[in-house]
Amino acid sequence: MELSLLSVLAIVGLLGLVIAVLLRSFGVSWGKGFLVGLVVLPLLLAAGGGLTYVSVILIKTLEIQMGGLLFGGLASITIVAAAGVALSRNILYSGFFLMGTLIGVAGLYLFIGADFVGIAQLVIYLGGILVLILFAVLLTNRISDVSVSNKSTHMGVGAAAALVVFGGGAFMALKTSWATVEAVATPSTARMGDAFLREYLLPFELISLILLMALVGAMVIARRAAKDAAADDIEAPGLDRLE
Amino acid sequence: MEAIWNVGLTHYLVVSSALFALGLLTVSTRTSAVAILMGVELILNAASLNFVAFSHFVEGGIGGQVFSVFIIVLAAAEAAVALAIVLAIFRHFKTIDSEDTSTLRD
Repeated sequence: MELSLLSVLAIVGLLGLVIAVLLRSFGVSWGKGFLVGLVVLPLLLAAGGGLTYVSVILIKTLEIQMGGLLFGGLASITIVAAAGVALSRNILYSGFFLMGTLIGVAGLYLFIGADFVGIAQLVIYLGGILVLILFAVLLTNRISDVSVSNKSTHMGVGAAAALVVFGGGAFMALKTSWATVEAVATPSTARMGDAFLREYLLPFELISLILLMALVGAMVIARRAAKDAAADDIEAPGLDRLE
Repeated sequence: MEAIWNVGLTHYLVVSSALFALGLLTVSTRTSAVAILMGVELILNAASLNFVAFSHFVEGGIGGQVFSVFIIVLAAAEAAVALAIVLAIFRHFKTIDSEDTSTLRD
C-alpha cells in the first residue's frame, strides 16, 4: 500500500482529532486534547519507529540469533529471581521470587525440548511445592505483620563462598571441551513413557513407595499429640445422646 | 561473537552453576527454616537443569530427563516432610528462627 506524505499527514491528523474528542469525553479541555492528539502521539509513534529501526540494525550487525535472545531472556528471569530469593528482606517476597525462578527453569526445560519435564515442573513444583511453602510461610508468621521479616547472618562469608562456587562451576563449564552432538529440540514425552515402563520401571515403583512414606510421615509429624487434641475437643450438643 | 548466541551445553551449565551458588547462599545465610528450604529447592532445580542439559546435548538416551522427573518427585516428598517438621517446631518453640531454636549449650 503506497502512502504519500499527504495521506500520512491526513491519517495522523484524523487520529489526533479522534483522540481529542475521546479526551473531551473525559473532561479534558480541547486545547490539551489537541496537544496530546496532534503533537504527543505522532512524537511517540516516531520514537517507536526509530527504536524498531535501531534494534533491527543492531540485530543485523551483532548477528544476534532469536534463539539465543530467547535463552538470554529465560536465563535472566531465572537468575534474577534466584537472586531475589537469596537477598530479599521479606520472606513472602522470597516465596514469590521462587515462583519466578521455577517458571524460568520450566521455560529453560521447554526451550531444550524436554516437554514432559517442563510441564511436570510447572504442575508439581509450582502447583504443589510452592503452594506448600507459601502455606508454611503464612502459618509460621503473623499475617498482621506488614513486612514479614527474613533475617540473614554472615552475608559476607556466604557471598564469598557462593562466588567461589559459581566461579569454579563456570570456569569448569567454559574450559572443558564437552563431547556434544548437534541436537534438535524434539518433544520427548513418548520416549519418557517408554523409558518409565521399560528401563526405569523399578525406580518408578520405588518412587511411588517413597511418596507413600512421605505422606504418612508428614501426617504423623504434623499432627497434634494425643493430650493436646483431647484438650480442645469440640463441644457438640447432641454428642451425649449418642453415647 | 556468534558463539555467544548459539545456545549450547556451556550456557546451560553456567546458568545451573549460578542457580546452585545462589541456592547455597540462601541455605547458608538465612535464619528462617522455610527460607532455608527455598534455598534447597534452588539447589535441586540447578541439579535437575544440569541433568536435562546433559541429556539433550550429549549422546545417550533419555536418562537425564527421567532423573529430572525423579528429582521433582523427591523434592515434593522432601518439602512435605520438611514443612511438617517446621510446623511441629513452630508449635513447640513459637518461632522458626534457627538462632532462637538452638538448644545446644553455649
